[in-house]
Amino acid sequence: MTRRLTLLGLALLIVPALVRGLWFYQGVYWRGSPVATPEYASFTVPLPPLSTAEAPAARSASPGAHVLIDQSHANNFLAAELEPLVRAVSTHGGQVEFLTANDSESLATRLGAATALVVAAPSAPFMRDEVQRVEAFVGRGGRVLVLTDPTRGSPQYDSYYSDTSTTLDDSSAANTLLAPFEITVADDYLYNLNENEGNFRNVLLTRFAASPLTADLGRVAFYAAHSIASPSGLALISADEHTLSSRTDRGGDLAAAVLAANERVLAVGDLSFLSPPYDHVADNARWISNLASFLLGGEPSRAPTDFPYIFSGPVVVQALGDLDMSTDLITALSSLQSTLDESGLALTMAQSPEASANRIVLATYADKEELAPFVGGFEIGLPGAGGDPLVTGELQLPGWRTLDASAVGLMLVARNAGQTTLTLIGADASAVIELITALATRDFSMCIGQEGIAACATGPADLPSLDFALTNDAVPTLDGALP
Amino acid sequence: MRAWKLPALGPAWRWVWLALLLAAGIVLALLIPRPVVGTIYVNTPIEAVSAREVIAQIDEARSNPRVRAVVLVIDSPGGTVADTEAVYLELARLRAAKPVVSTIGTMAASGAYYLAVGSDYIFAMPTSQVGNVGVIGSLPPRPAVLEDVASTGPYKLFGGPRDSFLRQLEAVKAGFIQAVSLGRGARLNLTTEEIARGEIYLGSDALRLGLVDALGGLSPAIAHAARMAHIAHYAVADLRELAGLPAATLVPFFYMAEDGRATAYPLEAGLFLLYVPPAEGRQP
Repeated sequence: MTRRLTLLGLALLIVPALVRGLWFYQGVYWRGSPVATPEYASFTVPLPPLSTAEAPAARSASPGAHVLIDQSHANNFLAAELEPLVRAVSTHGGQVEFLTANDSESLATRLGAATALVVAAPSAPFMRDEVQRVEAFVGRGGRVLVLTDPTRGSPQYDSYYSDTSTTLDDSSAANTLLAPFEITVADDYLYNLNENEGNFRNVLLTRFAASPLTADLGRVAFYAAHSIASPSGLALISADEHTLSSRTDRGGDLAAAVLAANERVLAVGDLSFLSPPYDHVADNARWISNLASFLLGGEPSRAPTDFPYIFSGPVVVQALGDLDMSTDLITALSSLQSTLDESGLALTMAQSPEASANRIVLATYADKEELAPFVGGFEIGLPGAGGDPLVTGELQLPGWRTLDASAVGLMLVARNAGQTTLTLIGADASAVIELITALATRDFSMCIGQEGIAACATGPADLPSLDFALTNDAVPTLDGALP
Repeated sequence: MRAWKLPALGPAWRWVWLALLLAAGIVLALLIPRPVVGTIYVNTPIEAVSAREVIAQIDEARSNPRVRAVVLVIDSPGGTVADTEAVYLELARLRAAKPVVSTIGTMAASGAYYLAVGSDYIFAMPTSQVGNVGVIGSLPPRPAVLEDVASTGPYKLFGGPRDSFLRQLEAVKAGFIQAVSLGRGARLNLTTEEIARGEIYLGSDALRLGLVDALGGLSPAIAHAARMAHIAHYAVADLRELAGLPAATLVPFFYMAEDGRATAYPLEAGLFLLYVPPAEGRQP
């Protein structure tokens, strides 16, 4: 009895707590495995792959190599960003000039002096006449490098915090220039989430087409790059299949640099690789050196109408035959000297200038024998030349109809070993003076021509005498090699 | 001593004694606390002040024996890296002792999702915005020499090269992605590369991809937390009140435009685990 009561007492004491405990707590929380957290100490900042190879020297510039860098199309870059490329060009003898929107001369005009054109991150479209001039420039052998960059084409905020933006799309602007060369820059950027250069948008590129531009390249790093397509061009630098386009999130056949137009036009999807410290990552220094070589390799043929940019150094005037140094001629030459002086070019006179000098040769058709070395490369039939079918007074140009020599003067431009010779030929001294005046005033409205040759109305004739002078036959490219 | 023995008591006193024992038992039972599922609301950007308050609530949850489970109620675009990591690590300590369940309201983006993966189970609404794994930050200025400010090193004023800052993002991202991998484990149906894309998913998509465990709001989250803690007939309590914290402190985090509109950009520069939604007029 006593025991029973004791147990009852204990039960009365314990059971309420037991019931309440079980009412609330039906088990014990137990974690099987410890809570794992990231190994923060193991995460290191990725370092760039530095190239151990020295960048090779860029090829030496051909005499007169003149690289024009366009800054007249609201370009989103600082001149300092191109410094490694400019230094590589300058170090090897190339002359570099910038064209800004405030310059009095247009891109079309300045192209006359250039052997290569660099356009970087434009945000203003190229006008039709500009595109045509660049197209002609490339057709004459000039080199064009177009650098685009997604970081320069992204929305630009009027104020960082204002949320109002203006889209400055460099790919669209660049495409207005590249369209004639069948190159299209996509409004995207390449990215690789697995293997990259410190960030997903910094891509490492290892696929190169065979070209002097890709010589000795093993791996280059682009710091946000557009993809570029060209049905007729060469995909110079391509991404691997793991590198994707932001536009499609797909990879494959994505090029970041394309070479087109007989290897004269190069479009690159990135601009940032040129700037320190990225210019020394991977093989970027070699790549920049190769780009400099590309720019230095342009030697476009010159048209007389490119005067005075056909010259890149001091000019010597040489009169052939019995051309009389009349007052009018001296006055015209003085005017010509002023024009050249405005371009920083000196004009002197010499009877027998050195063969290596830039020359303006003055002559009349009567000076056939002395003219021979200067017109030999142009396949010109001068009036009254012995043995040719032309009768006296007729002038025959390749691909042209027969012209009246008494009413037409010629301007011939030839380049040889980096030196330029401009030969002015007229029926007489007054015609030569008219040609000089046209040059001095840069008024070529009475002239017609292309490549290295121009025919200008002189004397009693007027421009209509040149109407329909061109035949349907293609005019051959005139190299005009001089002795 | 004999007087205290039951046999020594008379029949009436025996009943009295038993009644006293029963009363003592009831009192003893009442000493067993009703379990509590604590709730912690993360509904502001995660910055120094809000993180400190959340950590105080986590401390309360860990030290208060009544609190048997915690539900993290998340509706946040994320916040600063260091503050997010601080809360995440405190959550890990709490989880070692008590289950933690998250429920996502409108959004658990970036750093807020970082906290969500630091819990044992995640609920989301079908249209919750979930994910945005990644890091953002504005680059420091280009180092320059200033005329009127003297310093003792090239980066004393700027913190470091711009390039280094960009690379630091990768190290932070690696920690974030590993936190997601550890938190979600085999439930995750995304590759590391896919996670790193930084996408925001709808809750229903997030469920399919293993970024969350179930669709539902606060009630199922509380019930699930209670089940994990093996408790029933529990109470639900706001840990802010249990911790004795005042009402949430609103700290300016986003930059206010001159016209008074709040922008999506942080007030101060730095590293952020933050979702910045597209603003009006900006390209997607």
